[in-house]
Amino acid sequence: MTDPTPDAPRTTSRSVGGDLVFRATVTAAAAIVPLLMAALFIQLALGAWPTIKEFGLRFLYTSTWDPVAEIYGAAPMILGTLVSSIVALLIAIPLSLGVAIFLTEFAPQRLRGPIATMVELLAAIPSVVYGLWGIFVLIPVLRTLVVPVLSAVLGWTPFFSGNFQGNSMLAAGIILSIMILPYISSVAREVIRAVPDSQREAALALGATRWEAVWSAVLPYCSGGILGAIVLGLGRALGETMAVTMVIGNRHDIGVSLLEPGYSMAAAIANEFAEAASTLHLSALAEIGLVLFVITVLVNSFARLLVWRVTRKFGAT
Amino acid sequence: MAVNNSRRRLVSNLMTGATLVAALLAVIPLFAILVHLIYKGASSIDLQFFIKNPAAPGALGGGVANAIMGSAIIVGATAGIALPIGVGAGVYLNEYGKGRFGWMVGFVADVMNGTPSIIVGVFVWTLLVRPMGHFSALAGSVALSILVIPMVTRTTEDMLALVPNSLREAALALGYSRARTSLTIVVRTAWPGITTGILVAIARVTGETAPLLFTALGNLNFKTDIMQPMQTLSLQVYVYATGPFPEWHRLAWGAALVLVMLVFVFGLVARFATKTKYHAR
Amino acid sequence: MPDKIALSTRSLTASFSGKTAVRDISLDFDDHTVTAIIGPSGCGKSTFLRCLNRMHELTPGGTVTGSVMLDGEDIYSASSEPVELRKKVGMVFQKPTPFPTMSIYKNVAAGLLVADKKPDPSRETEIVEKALRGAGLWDEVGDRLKSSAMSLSGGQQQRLCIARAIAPEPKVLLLDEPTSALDPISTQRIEELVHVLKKDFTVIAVTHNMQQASRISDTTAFFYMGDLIEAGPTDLLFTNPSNSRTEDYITGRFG
Repeated sequence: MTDPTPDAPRTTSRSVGGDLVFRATVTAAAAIVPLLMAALFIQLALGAWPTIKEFGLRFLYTSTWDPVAEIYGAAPMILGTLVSSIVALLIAIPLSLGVAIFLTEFAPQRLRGPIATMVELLAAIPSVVYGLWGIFVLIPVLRTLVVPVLSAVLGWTPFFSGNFQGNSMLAAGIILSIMILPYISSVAREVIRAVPDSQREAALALGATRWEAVWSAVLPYCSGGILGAIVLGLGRALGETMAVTMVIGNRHDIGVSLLEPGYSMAAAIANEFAEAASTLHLSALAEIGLVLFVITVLVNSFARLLVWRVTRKFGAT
Repeated sequence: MAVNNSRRRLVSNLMTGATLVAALLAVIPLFAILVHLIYKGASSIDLQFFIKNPAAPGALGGGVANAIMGSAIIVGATAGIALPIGVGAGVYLNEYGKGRFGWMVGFVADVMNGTPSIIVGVFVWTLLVRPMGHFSALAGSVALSILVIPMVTRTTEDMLALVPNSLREAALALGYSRARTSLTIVVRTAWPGITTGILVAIARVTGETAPLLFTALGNLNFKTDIMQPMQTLSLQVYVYATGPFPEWHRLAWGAALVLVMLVFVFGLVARFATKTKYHAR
Repeated sequence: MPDKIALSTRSLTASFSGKTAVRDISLDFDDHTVTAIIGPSGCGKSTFLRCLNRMHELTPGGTVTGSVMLDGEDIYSASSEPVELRKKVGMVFQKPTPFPTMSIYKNVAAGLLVADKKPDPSRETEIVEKALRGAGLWDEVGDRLKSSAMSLSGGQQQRLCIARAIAPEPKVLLLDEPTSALDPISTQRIEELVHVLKKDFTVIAVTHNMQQASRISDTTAFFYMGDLIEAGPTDLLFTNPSNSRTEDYITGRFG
């Protein structure tokens, strides 16, 4: 682009000067975004440095967390974050994809708007309110209605053995699944809608049923983007803090049963950061933050690229 | 062949039904949460609730006046910090952002949108709280701003991209400078959409709790000094919900109801803004 | 007919990212005349027009060499500022482009905001009225200047854009296929308007419609694949073209 060269502004330099100021101002605003990201990473890395130096990689796979003895291993939190997120995905994937397919392919036109709005409202409810609801509504319901059935049917597996203690991995996973459902379904909807109608029509013209058209023509075309939607949901689940902190039980042990309490990385930071007294304790929590940050950045970048590829692919045609 | 066909039709109907069931299951939590909020929260809400501060632990009564004030101050300061930066960055992306730096800014904004908010809390603690030696509402606002900036950046860029290039050319052909064209024509035309995006972002951070835990911290008293720790509705819900007293639990539902209503009002206003935009076209 | 030259190009060449769109054009535009630029799509006629108010260089990859003389100065010289130039060379585009956030009045006054001497409010009102009359729109909108510009019909919007372009009293008015998005009746009104406009301005209009060119213009220039093939008085060019490609085009053998 050949921008007007402001060599010798003769008639008036007002507009050229104004443009320069304008450009400098908005460029500065834009530069703040990556600078914040870089500063965030550097601050966390600096904060985590004492524990990185002290424990090295052991921090990631040992499970002793003892602020008194100053020994820190984050395995229970890392594992707890992964397990609660996986439970959430197992519940949310079929539901959210079902919603997305229903809304884009099957729902009567009149219902699409209202149902989509209702699902999206789920994303507007604050995390702390989910936590409140989890404590006083979901957990009692789980205790009286759901867990007895689960124990009876699946109690023989290690995952549902033992007594339900209310605050638990299961409760955290269920809450998380509700929270990430609107994110997955809205991105999935966007991706499915990006598939050209000709795909559907071609399948239907060949005599496919409506479901077969979706299953064999639409979904394969946007499978990458749907995976992206799921990974975005995973990213949300990994970093979700308040609701998880309020129902997961905050126990520093690795348990197999979902009915028992657990811990997550975000919950550990939320619970302990304000009270951490020693440098090493703060550092350990900062390192948990760093690990969580790096994981979510990788997960989100991956997801963005997947979704972007699908919407670009069809956006161009 | 006929049998095969009727089986295929059956499968198609079953799967269609399954997606309908998924849609119904997905909206159940919304109603469950809203019904409980109203059922348990409405009874707590009276005039006292809005004009009183929290009572001493264990005592009856008390309200959320301090929390409402705190939310207003912290979210207001957040808007003051974040909106100029976010809108400015969005204008940059639309106006000059076609190169590699612009792509990078957009990508980073997307990635930051997915960054756990608790991490932003830790960041602002090391950046502001530790050097200053105390928690403050200002630190809370900075933390929320870091969440708002990338959201507003992206939404501004998207809305500006919808303004037809012909309008920009028409203004330039009149002898408008680039700055004037961008601000008085392009941004002005996209403004209703940008406002919607801003309201959505503000609504989201009004409910945020995690980044405030060790920045604004919370405060049981009524405070308006932005350099001091301050309560918000979201922090109040957390404190009341995780406390041991039934009276607190009752107040938690009340505070949560107020919070959700606030968030939904932002959302409704945003929706209204979008509606009027499309009427104008 | 006065034959003082208002605008002239010398060896004007324009390209997009190295691909030449307009090659070595030298052409004079007489004061107070209408010049039509015709040619098949992609012949570079719009690009050429956009070089005359330095809009072409705003297109990514767009570059220009050669010179365009206006008031004895080269608009591409280092000391010339595009923003100032465009106040002297108004432009109307293919599709109507009223500013949707502004009223009818504000649209017409939009160019006055950046004028070198900003008129005071009462003078501004006069100029707006004069411009709307000049664009033949006053009788239709004079009583509702405060309503949104988007409430007008397509043809009215285009005349509003003409009013907006002439309000700052430019020397030259560029029309880039101004009627191609309009219905026949609106088209006719704008064609009639062009005849009136040349009393005050030098008009250069790009059109792909040869009948239109013959109806509205004094001079016609025929472009083909980026080259200026022929230019001359309109009646002469249409009745007795000197180049065989011009003849092929105006007799409808291609394009």
